Amino acid sequence: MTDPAKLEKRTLNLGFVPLLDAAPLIVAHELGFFRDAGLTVTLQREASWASLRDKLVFGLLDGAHILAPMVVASQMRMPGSRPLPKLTTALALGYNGNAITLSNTLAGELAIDLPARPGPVGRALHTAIERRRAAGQARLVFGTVYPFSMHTYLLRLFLKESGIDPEADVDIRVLPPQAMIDALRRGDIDGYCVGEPWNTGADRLDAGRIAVLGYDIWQNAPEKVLGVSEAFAREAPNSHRALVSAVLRACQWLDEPDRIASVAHWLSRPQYLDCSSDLLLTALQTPWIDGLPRWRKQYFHYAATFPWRSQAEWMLDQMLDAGQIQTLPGDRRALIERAYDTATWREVAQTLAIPSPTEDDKPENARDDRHPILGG
Amino acid sequence: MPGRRDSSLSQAQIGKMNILVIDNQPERARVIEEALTALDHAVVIRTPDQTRIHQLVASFQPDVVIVDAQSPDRDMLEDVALTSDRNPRPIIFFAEDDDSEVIRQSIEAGVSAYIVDGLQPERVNTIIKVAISRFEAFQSLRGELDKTRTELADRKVIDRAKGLLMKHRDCDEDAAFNAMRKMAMNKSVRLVEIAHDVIDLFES
Repeated sequence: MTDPAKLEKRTLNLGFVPLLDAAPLIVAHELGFFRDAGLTVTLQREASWASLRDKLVFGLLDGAHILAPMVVASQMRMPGSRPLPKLTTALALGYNGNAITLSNTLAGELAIDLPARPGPVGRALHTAIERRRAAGQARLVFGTVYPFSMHTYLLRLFLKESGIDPEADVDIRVLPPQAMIDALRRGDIDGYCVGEPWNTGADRLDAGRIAVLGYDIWQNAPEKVLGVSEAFAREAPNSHRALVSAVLRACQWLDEPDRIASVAHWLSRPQYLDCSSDLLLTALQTPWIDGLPRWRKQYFHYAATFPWRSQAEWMLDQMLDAGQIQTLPGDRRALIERAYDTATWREVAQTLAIPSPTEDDKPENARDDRHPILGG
Repeated sequence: MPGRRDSSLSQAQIGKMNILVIDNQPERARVIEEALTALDHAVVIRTPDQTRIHQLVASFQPDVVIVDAQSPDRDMLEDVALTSDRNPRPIIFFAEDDDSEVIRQSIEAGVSAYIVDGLQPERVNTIIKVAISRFEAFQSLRGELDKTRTELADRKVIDRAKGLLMKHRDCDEDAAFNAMRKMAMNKSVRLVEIAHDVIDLFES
């Protein structure tokens, strides 16, 4: 653990968006892991990823629970955006956690039992789209949470693997997660890809049906990371390591058995997710019903906290594929290495006696991600 | 046609503008609407129960968007900016005082302007004008910067190709340069493209 006397900055503001996978930050706070690391932390809830990013790049937040692709995207100048200070991460906040939910109307058109594997759902959806086109009906609209998000890329991956063109056959639109259920009910959208508790929420309110679990689209897909500005990582390296250490401990804690009740209780509080703890309990427990660790968030095992550079590479490919960027930067690998700081992760892991992966990359989007280099 | 976003700075400053207001505080939105309508601008207020900003932007074509800095809808606006025509619209934020550092830095960054809570309605038009003029100036400056960057990058490529030619063809700098220029003229392509070919040839 970092010597508290060497911390460049002891008081940190950390941002989060009220979602189940903000748990590592909230748990680290509730269990005193930040205090143990010599840090005094204030957790600040943000209403949008845009606001969270602005505060992070301008130094109002020192670190944040942020969409992994936003950190990769920050390393590039997007068309029509101003050049901003760049972001980096030394800690991923786990695998999985998303699902695709469909409106009751669309779920009815598919005429299969849901949730199901992506194959059968995709085939039924493809047929429904063809039928709608023949009948001259409007294109289906799917919601996602942000352009640069795993939600967008998982949705596109699912559609493409089902023979559905994500640009020509459907519309993909950004909506705030908390607006998804109402939009589904009103018929503004026909489905969405979002994290929890917004899939379980739709199911419980009978506003829609969970159709495909993110885990079935890509086992152990990346999701959020602990993002910091490059300036913070450079100017306060010891504070950065202390921060990574505290949140890494929380991820480890979260993957132990018998944590669900405490997590649901803490996260439901007004200053965090401000929602029913029953809803969170359901969101946390549901996937265990069929006895498989599907859809459940994997916070720590299988090197889920390691900032795999292969994941950042995959995201960069998706940005290009989705037309979000027109060209790849000249030195692609240098960009990836700036965005995904594996060295800091390894240093911190060593102090916590957590074994390090031997490589910085692994095969991505394989059907079985239990690759030998991941260890257990 | 008024309200097109490709209007020049002078038109934008003088002419009638389409302004979209996204605010969950209806009273504040109405004050802004009154002030702007009195100045002959067309104003649309997006009410909290409308989720589809995309359609609103497509049909109304706002020149400026005014939004609460704390609104969850900001992510939708970024999506619209990215997918609609790849041209951002100036966005002006309502902000609380504790965001003042973000406000200051964003203004310095050139594109965003913020209206701090408790403003006088008559000041709104001035702020919008300033925001747009900053935005336009920033866009044109960035265009210049991009051009300069490209030219610098091209020159590096050309220099490298020249060096390779000198080495492999055993000629002097002028001869290498003239050979490339002649090839570019014959093929009617830019010099830098010939330079890339030369580098590919000798380094692959």
